[in-house]
Amino acid sequence: MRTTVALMVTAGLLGATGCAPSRDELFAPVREDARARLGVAPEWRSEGRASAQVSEQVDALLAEPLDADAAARIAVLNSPRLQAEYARLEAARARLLGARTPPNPEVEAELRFPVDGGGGAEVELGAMIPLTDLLTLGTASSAAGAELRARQRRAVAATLRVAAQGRMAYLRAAAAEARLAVRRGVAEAAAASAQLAEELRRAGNVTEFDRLLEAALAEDTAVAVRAAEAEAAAARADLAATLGLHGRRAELRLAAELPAVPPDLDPRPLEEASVAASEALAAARLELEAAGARVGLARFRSVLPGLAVGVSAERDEGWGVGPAVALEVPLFDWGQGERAEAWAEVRRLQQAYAAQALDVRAAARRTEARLVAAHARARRLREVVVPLRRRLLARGVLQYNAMNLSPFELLILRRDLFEAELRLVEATADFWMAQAGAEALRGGALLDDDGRGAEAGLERSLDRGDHR
Amino acid sequence: MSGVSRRDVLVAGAALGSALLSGRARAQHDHDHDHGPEPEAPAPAVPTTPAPSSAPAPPTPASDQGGHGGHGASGPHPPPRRTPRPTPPGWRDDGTVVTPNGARMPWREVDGVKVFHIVAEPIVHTFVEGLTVECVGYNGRTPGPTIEVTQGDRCRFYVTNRLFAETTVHWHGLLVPNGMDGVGGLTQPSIPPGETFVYEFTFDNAGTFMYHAHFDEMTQIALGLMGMIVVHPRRRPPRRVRDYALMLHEWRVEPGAARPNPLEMLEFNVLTMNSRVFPGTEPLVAERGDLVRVRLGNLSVQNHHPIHLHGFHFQLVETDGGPVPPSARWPLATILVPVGTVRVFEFVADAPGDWAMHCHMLHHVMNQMGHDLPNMVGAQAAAAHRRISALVPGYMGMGQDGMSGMGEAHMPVPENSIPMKGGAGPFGFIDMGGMMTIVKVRDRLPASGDPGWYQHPPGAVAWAASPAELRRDGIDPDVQP
Repeated sequence: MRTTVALMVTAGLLGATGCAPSRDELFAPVREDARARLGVAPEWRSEGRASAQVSEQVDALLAEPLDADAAARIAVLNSPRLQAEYARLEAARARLLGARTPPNPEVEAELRFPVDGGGGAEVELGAMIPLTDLLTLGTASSAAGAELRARQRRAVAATLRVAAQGRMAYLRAAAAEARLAVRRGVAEAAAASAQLAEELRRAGNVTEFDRLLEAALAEDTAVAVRAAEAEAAAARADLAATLGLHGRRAELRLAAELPAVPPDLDPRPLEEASVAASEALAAARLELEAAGARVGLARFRSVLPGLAVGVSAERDEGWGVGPAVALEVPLFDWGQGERAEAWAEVRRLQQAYAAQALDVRAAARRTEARLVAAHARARRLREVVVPLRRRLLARGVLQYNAMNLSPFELLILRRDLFEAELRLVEATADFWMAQAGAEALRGGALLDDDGRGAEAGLERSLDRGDHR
Repeated sequence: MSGVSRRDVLVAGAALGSALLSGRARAQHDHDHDHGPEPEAPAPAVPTTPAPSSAPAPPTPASDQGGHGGHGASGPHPPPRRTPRPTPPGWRDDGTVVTPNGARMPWREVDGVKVFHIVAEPIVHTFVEGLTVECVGYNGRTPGPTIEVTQGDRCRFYVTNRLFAETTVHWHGLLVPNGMDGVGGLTQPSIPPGETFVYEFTFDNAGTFMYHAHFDEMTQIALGLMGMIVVHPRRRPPRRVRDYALMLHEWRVEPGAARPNPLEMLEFNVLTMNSRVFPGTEPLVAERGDLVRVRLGNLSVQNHHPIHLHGFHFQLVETDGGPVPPSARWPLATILVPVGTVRVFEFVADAPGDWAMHCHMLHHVMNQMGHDLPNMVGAQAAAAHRRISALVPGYMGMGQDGMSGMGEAHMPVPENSIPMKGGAGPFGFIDMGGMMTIVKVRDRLPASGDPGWYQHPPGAVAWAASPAELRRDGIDPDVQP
């Protein structure tokens, strides 16, 4: 009894090797990083719905026409995908708690009644504590703790990624809207042209051939409008999904115009900043640390597998009490499999780390190239090309007034202006997409060009439920 | 038809865009000097001096300045002359032939020889207020000053070439020694730029003639190197004559451009008398009973001109071959002046009034008309026009009433252009331009200057029919089709 009590006290003492972080302590860095970078504090929901506070924030953001920043904020506040990411924090935290929990003792009792002859019942009692597990508690919990911190880093990155994805989805939807508006304008110009030709045909001034030519061109442009409508609807649907919205809330109003490209680019080099900030790399380092600890665990267990100590008592005529020891004899399995696996995991994580670093650098270089090109294009289009086309159209009206140009040719000039304006919108959207990627990189998150997370395959798979 | 039929080449794709549009407009030099924000250029009110405020800065041309044959002087070209050369002190410039909007070539006598100095040079020239171009001329003018001499005069012409290319002077219709004939390469070496050659001969024949360049004529004549020559007979009848010299010509100037295109062959849009367009043509004046003589020369690039005079029948009295015998003088109301000919007619100004005199080719009496508008006559296009206006700022539908009202519409047009410009008349807007002038016959002319508009006697002007008149004469104005 005294021993049992002592063991339980020991277990208790061992269990209390520092407190596991609370939910709030765990989430605070994620929330504060988001608040500092994005101006909005996400919540980590314990149930399915968002809190009233968050719902209010989202509604307030939806009350205004949406822009890129609003989209980023709504995504962070509302995205179920992000909540799924955060849920993995809970799992990691649970695994830490589990790793810190001392192993259960085993209690055995046997009662034997004499079948023939007299005498009293025989009683055998025993209580054992798996000593190996107890001894490895510290290392196991240190590994789980590193993995929890890694998961925290990934949650920060996931938040930035979701924000960037919100931005990009908005930009894609805004660009699709602009494209639709242009296609409508081009169709209108072609329709006006066709209507004029129609009237001239009715008056007998042009041939049926000329009328049909105009009509055919007008029809082509009308078809293009339909295609653009479909694309715009698809982009809106994607935006709503990215923002975690459905039903009436998914009927989004987009801001009328994309903001103009800024006059200068951020001069800070992106590649080194991305590598330094990369949450994925930081997480990978922590996971490497954890994998190293697990190698130690494997080594220890291969030396001392399954050692248990305890106490045993028996009543046979009288009570007898004494210590008990159980030992797994490493005759066939001396942990070679487990150790090899642990080492292999370390080596895998090392290579994955190197690969991830390369990916981060490549993404930074790609994003920078795209930024520079889109910036130059957008500026040139805005400052030179579109104004030139506008002036050309105005000059065209003067030439038309001098009867040197027909209304049909004027409408072609108008179409050319539409197309130039569209190229400006697309270059602007391209710039802001690259900018969103760059901001995410500077914050430590990595996206590929389509905005998907690019860290798959790197993390240690914890789906086996292995928490030793 | 214009406009719509271009669409076939544009079907291929948006990328072609406007590159193929108004191909003519882009083939020309379009000196569209843009001075900041869009110049909305209504008919500008600029002074009628030859020094135009709206003239563009002279270009420093790098491209082919010498036409097809000239080896142009290399190096920077001097700026074109903006004013006509004045008569040098001590030189004479009296005579009896009036060159409306023009002048007489001055001379001085040296040992019984009349000495003239002709300078061929780039100039700035105004067709009418609102259209000023760089072209070429003699002594700062186009047409060059009229040479007025008497049969038997021995004359010496110094010709200084300040052009960008070689040139010569040919004496059209005159019988001169072959070596003075002025055909570059055939009868003389061409005058290199910067040099002065001498022509000397005697005017053996009386008559009306012309002088013009005879080297790279397509370029040099098209750009304005031409002038009239009048040789009075030794014995002139004492009768007072109102004697006028008019040189007919045609030019192509893109609206908004500032240099005529000497390569144009078919579509001329500026038609001139003495290198001016109506309403910039000085009227021919006469007192009632005067004998009026009009000497017409035609150095147009391609087109003959049938010149119609209202109000009179006249007679063809002279060609560049000499006088027409009285029995052979054709009676005319319209006289055809083929390219490269001179026709002289006479009439007695026995009817007072303002009489139009103009080429009867209908496109020759419009200023800078473009031909790329589709035919809108009869089309109910208001809805289409509204739709286009919503897309193209500043667009207005036009053309459904023919050309009427185009000159008065005050639509913004390219700077330095006069599309459809007409003149203000005493009864309203005269929507004519180009090769037209007015013969003003009055009982008494003022001492000098324009006599103003004719004051009609009462009852002599066509009037709106009153209902009483319609009834009296049995006229039903509401005749149904």
